[in-house]
Order: sequence, then C-alpha cells, then structure tokens
Amino acid sequence: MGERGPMTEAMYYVLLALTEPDHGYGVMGRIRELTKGRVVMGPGTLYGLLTKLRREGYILLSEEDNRRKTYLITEKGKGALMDEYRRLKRLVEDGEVLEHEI
Amino acid sequence: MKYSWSFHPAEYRLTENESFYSEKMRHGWELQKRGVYLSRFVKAEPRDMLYRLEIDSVEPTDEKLALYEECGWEPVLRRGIVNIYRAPAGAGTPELYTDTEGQLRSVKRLLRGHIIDLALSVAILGALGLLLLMGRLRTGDFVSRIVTKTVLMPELPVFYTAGLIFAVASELMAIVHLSRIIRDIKRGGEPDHSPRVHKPWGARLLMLVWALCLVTLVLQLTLHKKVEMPEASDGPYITLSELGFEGERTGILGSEPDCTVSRDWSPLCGTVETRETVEHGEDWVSLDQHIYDLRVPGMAEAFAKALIATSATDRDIEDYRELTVPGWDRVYASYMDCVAVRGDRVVRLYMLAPRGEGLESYVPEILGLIGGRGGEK
Repeated sequence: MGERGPMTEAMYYVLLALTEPDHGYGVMGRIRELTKGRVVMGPGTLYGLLTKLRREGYILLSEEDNRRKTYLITEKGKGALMDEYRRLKRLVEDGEVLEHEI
Repeated sequence: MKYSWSFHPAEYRLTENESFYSEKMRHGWELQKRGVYLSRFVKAEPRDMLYRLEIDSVEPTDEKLALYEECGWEPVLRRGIVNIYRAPAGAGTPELYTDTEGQLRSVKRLLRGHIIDLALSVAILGALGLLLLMGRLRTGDFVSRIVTKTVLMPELPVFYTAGLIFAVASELMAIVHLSRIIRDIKRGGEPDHSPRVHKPWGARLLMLVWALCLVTLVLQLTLHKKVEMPEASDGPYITLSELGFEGERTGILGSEPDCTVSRDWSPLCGTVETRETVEHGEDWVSLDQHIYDLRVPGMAEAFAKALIATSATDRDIEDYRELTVPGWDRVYASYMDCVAVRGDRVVRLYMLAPRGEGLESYVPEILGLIGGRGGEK
C-alpha cells in the first residue's frame, strides 16, 4: 500500500487488529481497546474494508463458521502495515521540533 | 392487526426517510413494508428507535447481517437497492458508517442510478418529440391522431405526461440533492440523521392525478352505450328515412343488419356515433354520423382539422371543398367524407350515396336536419 500513498486510519487499525485472527465484531472491539475508545468503527465501514482488504490480498479468511468469518493479516498486509507504521513514525519524529518551540 | 399507509420521502432523501420512520415508531407505527411511494405500518408499542437506510445493489451476506446484528442493528427490510436497519435510540450503537468513503458509497450509488434514469427519461421524451416532429413533417397524421384521441380519451395523455414530468423533475431534484450531500460529506460534515422531513408533495400530486385519470377511464368505459338504431331518431343524429331512403335496413354489402347508435362520454366531449345502411333498389345507401359536442369552447376548428387528417377516406385538405350551409360555421366535403363545425359541435359524415352521386349533394340537407338537435353534453 506504500505505493498508493498514506493508508486511511480505518485501514491501518483493521490491519493492526488482524495481526491476531479475529472475526468482524472482535475486530471492532479490539480497535476500541487499542485506541482506548478513541476510534469506534461502524459495522458498515468495517464490512466494506474487510471485503476490500481480502480482495486485495492484505488479509485472508482463516476460519469460517456459519455466519461468522475469521480473518488474519497476510505477509503482504504485514509489509504494508509496517511501511505505514514507519511512515507515521517519521512524521512524528519530524514533528518533534514543535516540542522545543513551544 | 391495525395497518396504516403513508407516503414516504423519496429514497434519495436518505436521512429524511430515517427521521420519518423513527417518528412513526415514536407514535406507535412500526415500518413493515416499503413500496415505490408508500410505506405500510403496523400498530405497535411506541418506541424510540433509530432507522438507517443503506443503498446496496448486492443483497447483504449472512456475515454482514451477523456483524450488523452483533453491533445492535436489526435488519428491517430490503426493497430494491434500499436496505433498512434499526437500533434502539440511546443504546450507544455505533453508526453504520464512520468513514467518509463508506458514507459516500450509498450516496454515489444513488446518484449514478438517478443520472441514468434522467438520461432515460430525457431520451424517451426526445424520441416522442422526434416522432411528433416527423409526423408533422410528413402528413400531420400523427399529431392529428393524438388530438382526436385526446379529445375522446383525455386521461391517457394526462396519465403519461404527468408521469414523465414527475420522472424528469424528481430525477433532477435527486441529482441536485445528492450532489449537495456528497459536497458536504467531502467537506468533513457528519450526515444529519434526523433532518426535517419534507412532505412528498410531488408523489402525492402524481397519485392524485393518476387516480383521477383512472376514475375518468372507468367512468368512460361504463358510460359507453351501444344500441340498435331506433326507427325514429332519439338524439342529435338523423335516420336515412328522413332523407327519403325508405328501404329495409341491412348491413353493408347486404350482410346482417348493422344499424347502431353508440354514445360516449369524455371529460372533453360528448359523442354520438351512428351507422346505418338501407336497401336502395339493387343497391345500398349507407350513412355514418359522428357528432361531437365539445365541452371546451374554441376547440372545434382545430378538432375538425384533426378529423380531416385522420379520415378513413380522404386525408388531404386539398381533397375537400368548403361549402356554405346556413347555420353552420364551416363545412368541408370530399367525395365520401364531410366534416362540419357549428359552434362547439363538430360533425363527421361518411356516406355511400346512391350510385353516381357524391356525399356533397346531400350535405346541406343532412346538416340542416342535424342543426342544433339535442346535444349530448
């Protein structure tokens, strides 16, 4: 995803949550937990993202039980997530000058 | 079970539909079914519920429904591409879409559909316009046919025109409305899920017009009467015996007797049509009279021209001679066909006159007898 420019916040958190296998509702809870309630993701948004990420090979279906599907990040997904993490980190590091100015 | 029906806002007014259904539920009417213009509600315990519309041409998968339900969104119904979900108000249920892309998806899908629909409506209107134009360029026949049909059955063109105008107007409004929503979402505004609900006047008006058309049509069909022609005229028409043809009544070319009087009602005119054939020596004489008493003043001339252009025998005004008959404003006669105007009365005559004679020589006498005889308005 690096070649496609910055990732959306929603995509970043879904990939982050799927570093461990989980189903849709679990992903929502995990994102809320990771961000201490700052990011609440709607089910429509999440379902759309899961479909898209799976189609593009960033996540895969790891288990299917009736109405629930469990997903897991792929190697491609991990690479993209790491790229985005490093990019965000550089952004924060660059912004550190602000700390001295204030 | 107690039901009620209401006009819902047009589907492109997504959030207005949401407020509309919430408000209904608050008053104890639970959404049960959604049609094109109307929604059906069933009486229920009043509750404070949030409703959400999602536009998706693909039917929701089990996985999607399970996810929505786990989050508190209960599927209510699906009609066409509209999916409706609901959740109890104040339960902290997360919005279906929390990202701009997701919020835009429903709106963009609707916008695309409305652009296609607008193009289709305009194409249909354009094709109709072109046909009319071609008809006018050729013989005027097509236009005249529409004029005569309109006078006799005005509800049909009203029905179609009202539908087409409504389609084009509502598509245009939908496109403007949806483009504004897209602009607002892109500017970072959160959709307002409880806006003021506009009354769908357009749809109500269309339904009213269509209902009136239907009532008129039923009225026209039930008021149509066709009877065997009595010995003596009982209406504005004349019988062949009044012209001195006393032969036996028969059918054309000697078939079964076929002498009838039919009466029709239309909002624009009252019509009497007769058909009569009598034996005349070795031959037959036949007279068809169509007597139209128009209800709208000033229409007679135009209607007469349209009748000429749709004549069964002579359609070119050049084939007609203008005659002067006392009491009549305009009289056009050809060999077999005559169209005459007297005030708001228009008469058409087809006559198979005795061998060697044209209709023309009988026109003054027939029209003199018909004159202003008992109108059928």
